[in-house]
Amino acid sequence: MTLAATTLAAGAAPLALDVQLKIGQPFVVGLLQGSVYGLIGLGLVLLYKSNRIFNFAQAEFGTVAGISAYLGLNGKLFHIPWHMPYAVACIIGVAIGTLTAVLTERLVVRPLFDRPKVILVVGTVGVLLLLIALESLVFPEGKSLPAFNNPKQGVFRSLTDPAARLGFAHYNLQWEQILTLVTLVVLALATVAFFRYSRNGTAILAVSQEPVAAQTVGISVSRISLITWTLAGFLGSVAGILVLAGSAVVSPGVVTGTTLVGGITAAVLGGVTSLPGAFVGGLLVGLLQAYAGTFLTQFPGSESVAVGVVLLLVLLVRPQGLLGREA
Amino acid sequence: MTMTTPEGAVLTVDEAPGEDFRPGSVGLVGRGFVWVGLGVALLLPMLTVDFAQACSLAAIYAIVGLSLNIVVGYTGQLSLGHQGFLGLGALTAANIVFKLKVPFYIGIVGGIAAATVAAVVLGLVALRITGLYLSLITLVFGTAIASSLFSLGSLTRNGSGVPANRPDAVSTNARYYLLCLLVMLVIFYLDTRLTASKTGRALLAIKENERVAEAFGIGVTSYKLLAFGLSGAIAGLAGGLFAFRSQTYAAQDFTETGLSLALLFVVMVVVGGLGNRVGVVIAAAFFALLNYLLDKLFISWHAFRHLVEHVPVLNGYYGPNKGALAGLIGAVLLLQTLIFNPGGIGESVAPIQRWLKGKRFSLHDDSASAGPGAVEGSSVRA
Amino acid sequence: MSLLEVEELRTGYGALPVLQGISFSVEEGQTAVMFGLNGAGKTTTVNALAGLLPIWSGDVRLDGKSLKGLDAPKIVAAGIGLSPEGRRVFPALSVLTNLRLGAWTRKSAGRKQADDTIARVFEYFPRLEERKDQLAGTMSGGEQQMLAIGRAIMSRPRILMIDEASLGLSPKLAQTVFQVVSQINDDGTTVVIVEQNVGVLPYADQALIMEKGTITYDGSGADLEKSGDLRKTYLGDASDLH
Repeated sequence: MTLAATTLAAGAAPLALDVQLKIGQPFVVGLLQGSVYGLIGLGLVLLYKSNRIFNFAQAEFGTVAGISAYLGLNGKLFHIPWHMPYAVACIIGVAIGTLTAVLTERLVVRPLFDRPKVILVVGTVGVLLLLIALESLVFPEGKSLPAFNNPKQGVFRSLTDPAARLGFAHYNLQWEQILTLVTLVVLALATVAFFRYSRNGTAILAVSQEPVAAQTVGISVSRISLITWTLAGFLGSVAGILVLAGSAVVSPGVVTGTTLVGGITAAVLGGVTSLPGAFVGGLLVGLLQAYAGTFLTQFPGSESVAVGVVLLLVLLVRPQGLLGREA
Repeated sequence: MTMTTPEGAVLTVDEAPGEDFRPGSVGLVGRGFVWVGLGVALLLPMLTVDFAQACSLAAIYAIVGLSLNIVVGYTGQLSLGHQGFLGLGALTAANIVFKLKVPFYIGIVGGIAAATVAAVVLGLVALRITGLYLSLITLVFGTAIASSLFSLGSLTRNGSGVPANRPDAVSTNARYYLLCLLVMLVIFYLDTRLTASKTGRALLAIKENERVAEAFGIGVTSYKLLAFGLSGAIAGLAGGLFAFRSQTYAAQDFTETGLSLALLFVVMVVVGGLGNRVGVVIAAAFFALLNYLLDKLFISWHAFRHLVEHVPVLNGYYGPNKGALAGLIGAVLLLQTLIFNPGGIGESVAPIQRWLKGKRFSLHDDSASAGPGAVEGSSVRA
Repeated sequence: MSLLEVEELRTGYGALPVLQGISFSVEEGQTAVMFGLNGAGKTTTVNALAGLLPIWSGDVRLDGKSLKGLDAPKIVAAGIGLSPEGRRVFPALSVLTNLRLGAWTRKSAGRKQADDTIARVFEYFPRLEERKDQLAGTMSGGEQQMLAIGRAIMSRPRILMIDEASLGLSPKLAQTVFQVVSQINDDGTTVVIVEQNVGVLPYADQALIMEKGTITYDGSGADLEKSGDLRKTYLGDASDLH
């Protein structure tokens, strides 16, 4: 009886429901995940533009930020918890993640500046390994960072309770996801605007296009490098907090594990030097993964294989990337 | 098109100057003594069961190190997917031998073939593009293959692992160690031949300056591809040995540790000294044995155990976090090598090496040709 | 006291010495031209003066003040501008952005002054005004040369150095560039040009000839033009090329 009733009720709009579950839901999920990839990709592109290297520690700045935020929230001073507000903890997390990038520039990138590029890239691998090892020291077990709308600590606890879903048909969408998406889009637009309209942004482009000429007009290449790493660290840290808040378990190396490959693919799809390209690339990778995960469930690892295959194809057909243009 | 002047990229390969120095009888006996001592030291692990097993891993890692060294040290490219080739070799070798009931060595050859094909396909795409795209492609390859092929139910006996039984001749851990050691020495010798060959000189020229090499008529892409394919083949060989070492192909060996294994290989090659065979082998053995040694340290040595329990910083690494300690050691050694000691272990042991070859003991190399690795410190930028 | 004094300058690339201790000086308001074959050390000299290469020993003084140890940005701020070898414009930026970047060290002077200087550059090179929104990399070689010189003027230097002003330009275009440089000089900027084209001689108050990292001739441009020997010895081959 109940079964029949359910079937009857669902039968009213079986197609629409199926479309929502198989087309709509992955779209939303993919967009969210993809914008995180885009943000990691933006940071990678930024550093590629200024230093002509790939920074394999990019996503790990995010883990540092997430772990710092967690410690800020749950830290104790002489065994007394200090009850830091959630937003403050997140800001501190981002600050520490950004500081990590600045230190990376000063202590590792600067001394290796004039060496072959492959050495510089291996240097970023070293930073990644060092960060993971140090994270294990201060944060040995997997703990999770509360969601933004966590009833006890979340920043939006007055706005909505954690179980609340937005009433978009059957989509499983929460306020924090909207916040994530908005933050990511705003940051991406701000980064692009920074390059188009600000003095330092133009200088970064100048250094990346003609380092010698940039020096002859009086731009300090080392100062520009520091600015770039600061920005990249900031982007990576924000991405990390957004990834870790609520959804995932915070553990050493977690943001690298979940977003580095996606972010790299995003950057390459966009042409490695194009900022809008990286973000669009990120969205594409996110959507690709979501749909591969929905429709190719019979193959293990279909999400990452789909990404790998598309990456190979794009490099084969358009090595300069989908939006291969310096901007 | 006019030929550009090859300024600052003089491609000379110095012949070792005909040295008059010959060691005296005491020197000869001393050198002979050390050589024999080295040989005995390499055979000593055969006396124990578990240390032989650990040392097999050291030999296998050394093979992987030599393989990755061809890519990073000789061509100046970076691969972050060598654990993928290792896993592919292991997966193929174990499955062929188990399912088709073919002899052990055919399984090994199959593993080599599979890894070679994968390397060539990746290289075909990535090496046409200048820059360090290979590092990206291999990273994506490593993670993709770990989550797909390595975990495929039909190739892992639904996750319970594929048995990889050793043939009788090398069935004990001690004998298997000897096999791994011999294979490593053969690869080492072949690598020596490679760097002395025309191909080796071409790779050296490409690493020095791609444009100049091209102007001299060296097919840059094909040589890079050759090097990468060769590297993949050797890693596949190491993979086959790996599977039969643990006597089972278990997906977790390559999936759970995936990226960190790939990074560990990079650490080995850099800390050993880019392009320096002896250094790479020493570093590989060190990192392969590090966890084993740390285990011994934490479990057997009570003084250390007490120290660890009472010092807060060490405390963080105690127990379940030994892996992190190894990671910390690797990361610090890597950065230290890059920034302060670019020649790596290889450069540090070079004087001993020269002395063992019958030259005078001196801290400076009199004969300037030290193989492709010697160019690392030069001012060439990619 | 001369505006620019170079004393026993030694420098080179990496460990490789190029300049063997050269000395010369340039008077305020003059145009000095530096001749020499490829590899003689001309570019090394101007790069060292611009702070792109470290000074190993010796000294460089601008208006009596030593520039030793200053990096490129500080030297630009001190008043030496360089239009580098090979017309290195920022290819993916517009002509206007290229020029604005030229005023990088004069941020405090404000936008008004930068706009005035841009107007001055456009007076010298009307072609640049026509193309001000075009990407620099899409312009012809001659236009890029104009842009590189214009960008160097943007920092309002006391000394403008131009490395290979006419390389790759047609003889007619080269003359146009020389005339504009002469006009810039007349407007009060001291000019140092590295050149292989003898067509620049009529504009030279002072001529220097470099050979193997040393200066072998330092005198007036008119004297050099008169003495056919020198011309044949040092410039014979080079002038045939252009």
